[in-house]
Amino acid sequence: MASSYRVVRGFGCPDSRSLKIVRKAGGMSRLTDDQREQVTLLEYAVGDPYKGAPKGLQAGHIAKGLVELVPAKSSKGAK
Amino acid sequence: MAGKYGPSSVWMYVDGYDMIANNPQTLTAKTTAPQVSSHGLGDAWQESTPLGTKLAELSQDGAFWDTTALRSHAALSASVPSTPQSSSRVITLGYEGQTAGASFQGYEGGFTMTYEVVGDVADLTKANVEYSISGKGEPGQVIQEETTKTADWDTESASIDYTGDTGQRVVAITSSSVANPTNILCAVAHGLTTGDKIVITGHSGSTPTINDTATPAGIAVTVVDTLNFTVAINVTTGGTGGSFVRADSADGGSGFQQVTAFSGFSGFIGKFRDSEDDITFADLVTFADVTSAPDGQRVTAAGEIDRYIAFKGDVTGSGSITLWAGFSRTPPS
Repeated sequence: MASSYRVVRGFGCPDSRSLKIVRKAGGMSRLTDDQREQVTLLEYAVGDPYKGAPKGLQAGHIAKGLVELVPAKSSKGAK
Repeated sequence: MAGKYGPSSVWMYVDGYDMIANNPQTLTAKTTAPQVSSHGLGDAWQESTPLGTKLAELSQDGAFWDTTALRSHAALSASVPSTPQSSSRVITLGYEGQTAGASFQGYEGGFTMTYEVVGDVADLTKANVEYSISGKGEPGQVIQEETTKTADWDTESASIDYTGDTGQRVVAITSSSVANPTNILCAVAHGLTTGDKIVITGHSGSTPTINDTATPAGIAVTVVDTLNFTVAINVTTGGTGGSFVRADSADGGSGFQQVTAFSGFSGFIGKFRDSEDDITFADLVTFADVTSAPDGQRVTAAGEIDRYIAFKGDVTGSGSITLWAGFSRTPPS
């Protein structure tokens, strides 16, 4: 079963399509007004399941401590 | 005249009150290092020695005594502390105007020490105020200049880059060595700690370049001694010159928010976010819910603060809000 993460510090980031635009510009602060209008941001609040973030950002989010691994539930009765 | 400012660039908020609206004639922010006499018998010259403490003082003179709602009398008449439990005031001011990135001065805590109303036969009635400051003055950068909003917003596409903070110390570099990692020799003590991130500019001759404009987070350093540190770059031809500034700060800071007008909304949550890559912005500190104006708040953040800081505002319902926000990083010790 794939590992799942949950958000422990709220954050926002571009979605996968928008990330290409942001990276090409060199960062959010370097976007032109036209580029900014094309960017869609994902918002994550504390406790949210960590889903949908661009693959290219996930390692950074984990390393930064924005998300944490959800402990796998043990199967009742398993021996 | 770059770097010089005049009266139109001065602004000041106290607990969400716009103090400049009352047309003060002077605003004085003073920092004093008290000293004691340390000479004695036999000394031909007087001597003095710093106590090692600092004192911040603040005063404004010549403002109109104005009983209009949200003006000077409302801001000041009931603010002289009457008990030791009185709350301190949230005070922020600036001399460089309101542009995002401009410097400002916040205060850890302030009390109205004197409130003086002056009636003059040949003048409109004026009011003078002296504030006593409890704790430190906190220099910072304006993140959100005063603005009026009617919906959620953020400044992530106009975040404030710490490397552009003119209050930062700029450290001159003497040379980079042929090594992997390359050793950076500084002309003066660099003041860094291993793990700090920096941005180098103006260094010439090295292969590859160590000027770090392409790495938004900055480059981490490993300290060798007070004049030397290494960065993880394989330099095959050494270079000379240039300088560095810090790309992040390690010791937390304080966020200030001043709400001068509020109508319609049932609530407003403001927060600062930081980012090391200018792409993902994470919550840094969050202010308490605002339901009316005027409202001034100061909140503190601990630990590392990344290179870019932005402000995010979330409103509930429909209405309008006018506010200002700034952030002060604790300077490296």
